[in-house]
Amino acid sequence: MDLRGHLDLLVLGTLRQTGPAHGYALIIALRERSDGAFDLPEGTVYPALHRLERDGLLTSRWDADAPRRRRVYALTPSGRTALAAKQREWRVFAHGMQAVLGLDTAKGWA
Amino acid sequence: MSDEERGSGPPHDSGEGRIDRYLDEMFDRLAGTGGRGRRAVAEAEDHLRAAAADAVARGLPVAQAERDAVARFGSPALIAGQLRRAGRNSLLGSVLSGAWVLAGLGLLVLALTYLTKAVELTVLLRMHPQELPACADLQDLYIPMGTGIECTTSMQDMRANAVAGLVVLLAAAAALLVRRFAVRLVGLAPAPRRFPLFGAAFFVVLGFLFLVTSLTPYSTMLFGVDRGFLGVPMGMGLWPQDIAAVASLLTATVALVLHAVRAAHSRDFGLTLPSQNPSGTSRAPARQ
Repeated sequence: MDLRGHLDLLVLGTLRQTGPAHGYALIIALRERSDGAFDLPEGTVYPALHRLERDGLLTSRWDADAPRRRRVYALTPSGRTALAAKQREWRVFAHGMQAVLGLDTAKGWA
Repeated sequence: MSDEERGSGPPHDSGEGRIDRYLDEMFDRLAGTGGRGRRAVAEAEDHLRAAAADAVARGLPVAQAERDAVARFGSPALIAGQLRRAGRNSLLGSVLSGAWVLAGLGLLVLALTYLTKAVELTVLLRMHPQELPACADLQDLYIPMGTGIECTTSMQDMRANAVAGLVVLLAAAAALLVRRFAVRLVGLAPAPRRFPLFGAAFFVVLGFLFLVTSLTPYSTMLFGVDRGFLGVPMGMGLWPQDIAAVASLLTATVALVLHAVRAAHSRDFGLTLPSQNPSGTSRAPARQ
């Protein structure tokens, strides 16, 4: 599945559910929670994390307890606000797509 | 996903040492990116070695585990290219954002100066209540300090400072709130992480500048005659530059405290918020 344009939202949503996490834990959580549907090159999560941190939606620090250098990311208050806004947009989008494609739950998922 | 995207190697590749070779190539491709590049390579190494360790724990040979980990990570060209693009911070946006905060805080200092002056004039008038009934009669008649108060002028000064303080305070609040919404909703770049330190230094310099000007004849040149402050008459009592100096140094102190709190939060967030992490990091693979 092509996730371009949606990766930032997926990263924010996964981090909200997992709490502070490093990149590898994040990609595993993303894969498990999507039942394997979101199987993207694992390295692409790091540019997304860096971009979201640059935009102030995430904060990060080195985990001093890890045996190797490990960067842990967490949502900032701005990140939570942005996630809530994107979720609202997504609901409207999904509702519209379902209606247009005839996938309205009232008619059953054909 | 194509083999190129996954970065799978040629069929004859034995796999062992694949992670080291991958990291070498990534390091080369991120040359010139400084600390951001080194951080990305460190993150990639942690990811790849954790993934390989997981695979080995599931029973795969080391060579196969490393080859799979590298294949799943994506080609160095793809990831390094994305990392370079992600690192291109909007310098203009950051500068605009930081300047916006400084302007808002500067207005706050100005409002604090005017309001403090208004309060001081009110207190001074209350300390000489015997002069108040005479104010209406005295009009603009000057009575030297110690024997009375230039009542009418002082009352007018107090009102002028109060009005100026409230107007500037509203402007400061509007500037800071609009910027906050711009960051959250429109995507304006946040101020750089160390911005509070820069802001503290700025207001320390500003504070000492006010102190120096209030002690020298340059004060009149910079702020006008007769103790006026940026067009608002200040009247008797403290010099406005002294108040502005204290307000600036106070703002610098608040900025330093804010920076310390942020730094502490950044250090602790992963360890002090267990309630936010009911299942997340427990999904992390076993460490090597």
